[in-house]
Amino acid sequence: MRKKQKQGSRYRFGILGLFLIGIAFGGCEAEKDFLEESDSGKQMRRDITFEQFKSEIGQPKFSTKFSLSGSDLARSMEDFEIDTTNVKALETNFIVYSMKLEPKFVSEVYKFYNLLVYKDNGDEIVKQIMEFKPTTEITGETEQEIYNYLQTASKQIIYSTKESNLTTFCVKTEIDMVCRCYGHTVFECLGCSLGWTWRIRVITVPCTNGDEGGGPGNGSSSGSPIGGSPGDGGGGGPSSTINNENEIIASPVVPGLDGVIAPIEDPCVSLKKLFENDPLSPTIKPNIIPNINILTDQASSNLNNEVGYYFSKDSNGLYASSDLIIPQNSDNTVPIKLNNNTYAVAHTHTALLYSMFSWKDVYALHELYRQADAAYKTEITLLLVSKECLTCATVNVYALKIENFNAFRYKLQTDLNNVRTAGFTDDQKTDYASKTFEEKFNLGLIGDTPALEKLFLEEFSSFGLSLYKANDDLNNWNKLTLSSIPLNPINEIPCN
Amino acid sequence: MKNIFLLFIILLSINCNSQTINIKDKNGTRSNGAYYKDIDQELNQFEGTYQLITNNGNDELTMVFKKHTEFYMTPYTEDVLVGEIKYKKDGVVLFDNLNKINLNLPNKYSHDICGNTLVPAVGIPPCDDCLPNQYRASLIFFGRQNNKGGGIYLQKIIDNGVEKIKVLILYTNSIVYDNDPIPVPLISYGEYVLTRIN
Repeated sequence: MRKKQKQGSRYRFGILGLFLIGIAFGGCEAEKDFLEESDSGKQMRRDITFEQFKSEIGQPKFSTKFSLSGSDLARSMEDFEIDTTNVKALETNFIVYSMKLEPKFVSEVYKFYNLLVYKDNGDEIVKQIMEFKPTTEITGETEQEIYNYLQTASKQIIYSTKESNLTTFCVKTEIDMVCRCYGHTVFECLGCSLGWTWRIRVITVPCTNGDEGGGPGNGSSSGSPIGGSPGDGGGGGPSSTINNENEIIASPVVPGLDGVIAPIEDPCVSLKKLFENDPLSPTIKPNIIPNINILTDQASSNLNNEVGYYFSKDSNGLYASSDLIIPQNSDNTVPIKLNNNTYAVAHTHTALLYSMFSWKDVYALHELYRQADAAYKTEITLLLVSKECLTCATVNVYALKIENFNAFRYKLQTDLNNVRTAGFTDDQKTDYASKTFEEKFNLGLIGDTPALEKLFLEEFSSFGLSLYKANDDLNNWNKLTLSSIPLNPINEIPCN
Repeated sequence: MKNIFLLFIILLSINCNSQTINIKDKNGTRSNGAYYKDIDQELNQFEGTYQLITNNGNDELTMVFKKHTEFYMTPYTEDVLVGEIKYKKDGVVLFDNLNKINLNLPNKYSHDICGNTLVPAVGIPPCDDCLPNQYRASLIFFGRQNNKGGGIYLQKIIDNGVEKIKVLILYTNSIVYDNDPIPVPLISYGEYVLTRIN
């Protein structure tokens, strides 16, 4: 009897299994080559395999992974991988291969990327990454609302291997939604019994002869920049290079900004220079000690607002400092003003908050470095003058130096790439990251300077950032590093 | 029996992937799949509408706070307190977003104020009149009106039997590029005491 029940059970499971497999295969009907008649004219569109694409383009080792490099800081962090399951050959009087790209870092949830590959009239392969970015914050919840919303998404080219074709090639976009059934390839939702979600698919379609632009390589078109044809809502984007290697790029390694690798001076040397003074030619040396003394006095007086100084170096190498920066009445913070002559900013923190650099301070250092002339990058410093606590007597002078900018910006980009702040302004994103970082200091650390230093170093010291503390006489600096001794968590290594 | 055992294993593995963390224990990191829960219901004390009217009624600061539980946005879930502000200065309403509090925004961080950090009495900012076991809320103020944001710290107080809330607003540095204008906060930084009106 039990055996029969077991057999019956197996039979039922077998039927169920076959039923599910049937549903899956029934829904996963393979797409076939087809002709399409769109508003813009007659187009051929073939769904092909990635292998077929490689064969057609004559690149059997076409990499599926891309790392970007270039002058656009935000972009140069991104790695992409091709979704090889969704390759389209788009044909008019030329062939463009279009495939979806998955970014390694999802900076904004509702951004999409396509890779376009085609041959120009010199038979050279051109690769372009197109970004589709919604123009407003997404508000829809239903399928139709999201679809309608995406129709307003703008798009732009963010990278191209060849700039020459950017202005002569026109594409349009189509956005459709397909159902994704968990555990299976994309297919119609009908019959999906395993749980499903809508997946938005963005495809690019080349313009036909009647549209603006023209084919790649015609070289004479006065059409709109790519992605910027009327009605598309897009615009031409910055061009740069795609660095594709036939290997997995584990972490992005990019050159210094604008392709310039700035010489890195020993931070100790750079910091000690800040204290140097030449009384006969005051502008030849930085001589920031008088400024630091004023900030120390201000920090000691328990002001509720910050104060600070900007330090600059002109094209002749002459140093200058600003007047004392006092925030506007309604503000408690010193704005960090950036221009390519600013090499250092010093500011105080009030005793209302913790006596350590904030995340936003760190971000300011990043921006300071990014904006500075290449020749001055090694001098870029952020200084903090801060009383240990409201009732404490000690005022600490800290300096932050960048030792590895690539690692540093990798860290900041990772902190900034948060779906909760997708579509927010940079300031709002940094406010979010700043508050998250501040959580570390919430648990009763008033006046516990080594604990604050430890928390800061734990967060940033592995990412190319080094922390220094000036000695009381302001004639030397100590590099702070993490120690393995719990009762003495910070090593102070004097600069020679 | 075998299938029941398999089901048990599957359910167990699903359960093992979720982790509930008290928001009091947040440490500046986030775990994928975790639920940051207001286990001790500390955020509830701040819910409601609070108001401060000065300058013969010409200045008004009204804040409304509402708690949302189990707000999920990949990769984790959290309980959050959201807030909106009405601000009037010299008789002019500079902004009034109080009605936004009732919108069911998919992203709770789209509110002007949002967060769930709890600060103990001995935490920062220093608190003179906090009870030893009292927690304050530390929230993000996005400053969407003029792109000048920072933090808002809330402390619940009872003043002669009247529910009030101490609000400390502290901004974070603005980063200003070249000759761009420096954002100026519409609401001055500092401490405000608001009385509960609803």
